[in-house]
Amino acid sequence: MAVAEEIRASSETLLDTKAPRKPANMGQILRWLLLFLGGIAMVMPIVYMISTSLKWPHEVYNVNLIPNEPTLENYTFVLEDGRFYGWFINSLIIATITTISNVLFDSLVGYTLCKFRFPGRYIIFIAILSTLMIPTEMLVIPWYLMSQQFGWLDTYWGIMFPGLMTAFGTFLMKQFFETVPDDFIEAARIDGLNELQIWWTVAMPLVKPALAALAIFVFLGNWTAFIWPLIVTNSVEMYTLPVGLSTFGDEADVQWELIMTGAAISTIPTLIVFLIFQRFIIRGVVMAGLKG
Amino acid sequence: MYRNLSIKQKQIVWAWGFLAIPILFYVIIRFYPTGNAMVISFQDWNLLGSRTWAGWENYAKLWNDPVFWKVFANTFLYLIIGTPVSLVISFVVAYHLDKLRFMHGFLRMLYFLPFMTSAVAMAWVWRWFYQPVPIGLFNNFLADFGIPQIEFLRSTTNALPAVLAPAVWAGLGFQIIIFMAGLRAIPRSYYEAARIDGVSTWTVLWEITLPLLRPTIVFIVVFSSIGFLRIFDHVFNMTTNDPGGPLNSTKPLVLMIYQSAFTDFDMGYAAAQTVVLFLVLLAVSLLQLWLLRDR
Amino acid sequence: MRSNYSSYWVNAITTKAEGEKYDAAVKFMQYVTSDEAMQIWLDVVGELPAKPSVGLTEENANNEVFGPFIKGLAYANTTKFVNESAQRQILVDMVERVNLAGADPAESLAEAAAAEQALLDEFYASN
Repeated sequence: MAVAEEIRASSETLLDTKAPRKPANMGQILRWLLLFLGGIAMVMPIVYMISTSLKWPHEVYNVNLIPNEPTLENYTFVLEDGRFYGWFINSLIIATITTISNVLFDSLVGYTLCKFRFPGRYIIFIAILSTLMIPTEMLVIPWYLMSQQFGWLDTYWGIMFPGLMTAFGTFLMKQFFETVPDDFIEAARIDGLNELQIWWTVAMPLVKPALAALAIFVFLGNWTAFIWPLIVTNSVEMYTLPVGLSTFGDEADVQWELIMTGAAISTIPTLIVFLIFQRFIIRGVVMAGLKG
Repeated sequence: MYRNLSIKQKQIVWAWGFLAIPILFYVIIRFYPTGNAMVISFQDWNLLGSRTWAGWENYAKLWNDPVFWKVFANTFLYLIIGTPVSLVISFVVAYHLDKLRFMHGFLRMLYFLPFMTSAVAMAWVWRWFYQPVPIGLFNNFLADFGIPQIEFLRSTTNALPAVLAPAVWAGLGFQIIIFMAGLRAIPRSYYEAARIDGVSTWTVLWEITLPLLRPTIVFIVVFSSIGFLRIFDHVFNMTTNDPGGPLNSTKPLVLMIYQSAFTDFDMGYAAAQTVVLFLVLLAVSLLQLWLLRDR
Repeated sequence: MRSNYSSYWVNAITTKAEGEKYDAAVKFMQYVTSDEAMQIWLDVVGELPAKPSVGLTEENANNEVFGPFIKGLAYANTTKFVNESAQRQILVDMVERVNLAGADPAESLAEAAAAEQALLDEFYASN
């Protein structure tokens, strides 16, 4: 979006700068307290989800946050059933392959559109960008018919194919390759590297932070994707975590401690990844948000 | 043969070589289906029988379907409530968080955490919160304080905001981070100058901060509006026993599309709805960009 | 007019079944449709047999528990589902109009009947 030019390029790094030191007056203390309470409220749903997943059924209806007799029984029960393992693996495979595909192809296309001069370049750029305006929901019916025709229903390929490349990622990468000086590329050409080598060994390492931001977004997007996997899968073994959880929730009916356990299983991995790479992910979100 | 090409020509060959697979992808997976959806919207087809031309019949059916108008209104309600509420909350939090040093990273983490969750998982968590006593958390709290029960999901008036709440909640973290980046990008010298002139905090906010944040606000408004117009995961999972209910009070356009296509197998009708969704998204994005354009 | 309600299960072999699996499926279908299996199903599960040759044996038809039900099958009708989830939704909405929107039960029923008829009309017009 045009927003990018108007915010200074390095705004993502500005997040790491600190606010000017101010004396701890009453106003600041009150501000801190209110924001702290708001923050606690924000994470409450997640905390209650985890807390309930550790409770025995008879305790579920209590509002206490810390279980009286914490138990892993719900996890054992849900995992022993076996389906969650399969769904977890499915989601992991699909999100990983899609992420790799996006990192490779989006950056290759972004790089080509940014660094090559050739007839038709502008048209292709506009064409790819215009797909941003097409909502996924408009495409699911034709995708379904296509999958039916080619036997892609209920396969990994069927779940993955719509997301293998994204216009958003292409645009993001194009923006970042603008920061790679043309001189570097020229120098590599004189050294006798071919174009593929230049892209992979010279340009790609220079945009690593952007690649990471793209990878985070694509992975999270596919890990939580719901509507297309719901449509394209029909056997329990092929479900992804969100689709599996949705059917599991219906089936568990009023056994909320089991539903919370399933929800926790599908949420905790991304939360852990976030807590480890926090600073890095937030910077990536800003980059993707402002430049994409 | 390649050897005889000039450097410029070689570049063209490489460029098209790099683009070959992606172009194929975009044509087959993006452009063809777009056209295909539009074509199907003019056909009558239930997946099994024959495809017959229906002209504008699907659109006429849509126009005369009271459920469609209800759904259309719901979809805009999600937008009209969701966007301003999340914009105001995220700005207020970002504005104040920006002024704090103590445990800044920790507070930011608290606000951002919900963004990393899966919509389906959180829809089920919130669905549990909303249950009546003795099950649901919210009503249990109300009962502890002796406040009458609130029907959240089983109510034609409360259900839509109740379904919307987790969607707003999950998106706040992203918007707060974007706002903070926007705030940090405003040059300090502006504030210094204002301070020297002795301008009040409110004036600084209205005359300096908000105007300079305009691009950030445009981005967040467009981004979140598109998200709310396409709401599906939360509604689907919070109302599985009566999809989009009660009495269609929570049904958004995407859920209606899903039901028309994959439970009624009325492909032409569903495709016509997707065309409407496309036009709505296009109109809303263009309208907002125009309203918030630089003067 | 005498009418009674009944519903039924259908078991079938998918078109994708081949070879050994297909043969096994055929064998299984032959068994579950046999008089013997239906009698077991009635005795153990308590669901009524589909074949008159089992249902109308002297013993079953005069059974203290099943007898009246089996005799009732003679004038039983089953709901014709042209779109099961849509038809279920009509009933759900009918009840909720009364419970949540305070509609008059008779009016709500009439509205549901009209909706059901519209759904059936649309189905039979296009099929």
